[in-house]
Amino acid sequence: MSVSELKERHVAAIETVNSLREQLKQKRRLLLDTDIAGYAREQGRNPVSFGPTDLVCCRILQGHTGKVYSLDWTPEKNKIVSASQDGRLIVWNALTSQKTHAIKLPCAWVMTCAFSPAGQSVACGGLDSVCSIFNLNSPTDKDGNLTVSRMLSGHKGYVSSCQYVPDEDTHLITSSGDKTCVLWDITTGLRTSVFGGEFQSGHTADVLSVSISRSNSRMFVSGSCDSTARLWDTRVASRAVRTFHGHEGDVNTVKFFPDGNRFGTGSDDGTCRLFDVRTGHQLQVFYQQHGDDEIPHVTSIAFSISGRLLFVGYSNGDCYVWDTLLAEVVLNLGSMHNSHEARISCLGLSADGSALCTGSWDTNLKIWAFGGHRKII
Amino acid sequence: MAEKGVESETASLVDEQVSGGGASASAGADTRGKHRILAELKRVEQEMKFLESLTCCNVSEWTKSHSQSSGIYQVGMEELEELENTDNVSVVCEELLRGVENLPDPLISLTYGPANPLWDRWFERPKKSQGCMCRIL
Repeated sequence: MSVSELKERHVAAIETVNSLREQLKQKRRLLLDTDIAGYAREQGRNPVSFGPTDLVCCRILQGHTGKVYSLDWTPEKNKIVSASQDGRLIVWNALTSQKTHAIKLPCAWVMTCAFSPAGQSVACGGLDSVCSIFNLNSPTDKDGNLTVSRMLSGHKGYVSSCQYVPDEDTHLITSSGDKTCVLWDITTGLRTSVFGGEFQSGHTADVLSVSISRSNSRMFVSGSCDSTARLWDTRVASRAVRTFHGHEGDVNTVKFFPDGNRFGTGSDDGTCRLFDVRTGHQLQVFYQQHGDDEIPHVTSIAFSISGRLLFVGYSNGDCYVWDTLLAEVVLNLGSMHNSHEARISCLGLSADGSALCTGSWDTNLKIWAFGGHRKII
Repeated sequence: MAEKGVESETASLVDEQVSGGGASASAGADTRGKHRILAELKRVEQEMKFLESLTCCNVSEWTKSHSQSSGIYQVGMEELEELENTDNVSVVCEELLRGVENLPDPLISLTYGPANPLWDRWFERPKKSQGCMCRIL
């Protein structure tokens, strides 16, 4: 086949694919008869309301000397691990505010951290392209530092996000600037599966975030600089189960909805979106003008334990609390007394959903809980 | 999948040009030596690079992209077929509403029970005050 014939075939193939994409868009548009907010209003639902002293900051965790980039709670107890620009991981008892471990990292450029399900290990990754595991029960070296118990090497770009597979201390998933996600066997240090990359279809730009479903730990979603989120089945690494379009900028953060059948995303385009895993539908867009000319980026999201509240951190320091069902902002933690003094870079709920932890570029972490009057139906 | 597709398409493209250049090859067996074949392969690769510089396009990228397009097309057709049997958003919303509203949520003032007394531990005095660094605000 000549070069010109190859070029013609290529152009024709691209046109066919684009035409098919258009058909898919139109077909899907016909099924979008409403969104969640429209449906909920029709059903007569009212937004959640907060009194001025309902959600309060009840702890400030001070100790980092640089921006906080990432945090993660233990599944069972009150412990949090945080990662900072100061090149350290700190493990906190969130209830007492005490630090139980301060781990000086071999590579200071850390971007992400995670707690193992049993709470005995922590993982972190960053610009060194490696995911490092620390066993919290190991003896320290002569300088009082915990040494790395396992290094997961193989990524060809920075490690942007990591999460342990729920209920499995021996497996975790990372996302990377090399456009792939990897499922690791921590026991051997080897890659079990690589999702995307040079030889398989997947993200076409840096992957920034992963979230594993709690109800089906074989499913995870990833968010990328290619403006898409992708759903993966860990048994099938060759291609994503589904690709979710809609965002108009980097997808910085993804998080599964508590029921495991939906997931949320947050993007540089300033919006959060809720997608349905089974149908592929975009169920809701969460966007509100912040009053500035420049649209702030979404840095982090987390759902309350029922899914009714969506906490969203933005690059301008706001932290909106959205009523997920009505798509209305019901509170801004960024404008409250004792709010952070810089952008909130990470968010996470405690395992029982009773507390929200926010981490910020102001070097602090804060714990927020409901201190108002609770009425049980 | 895509990798194999790229290899097979690129290989077949090279094979055609190699066999076209191998004048001494018989219709049946290829009697050229290994070094002769490698030299011809190198010549074809150089020709490809030269053509790419002329056309300002990347032939190998076309080949890879074409193969990926085929994969994307197949996935797209599967998705189009799947959409024929997919529920509207309103059906999904109904399921979502029922699920969310029936679950207890400690961060909401009006919520389904049962309530858990541990939800309020953040506002209780710590058991051991010695060495505690709590700052309840």
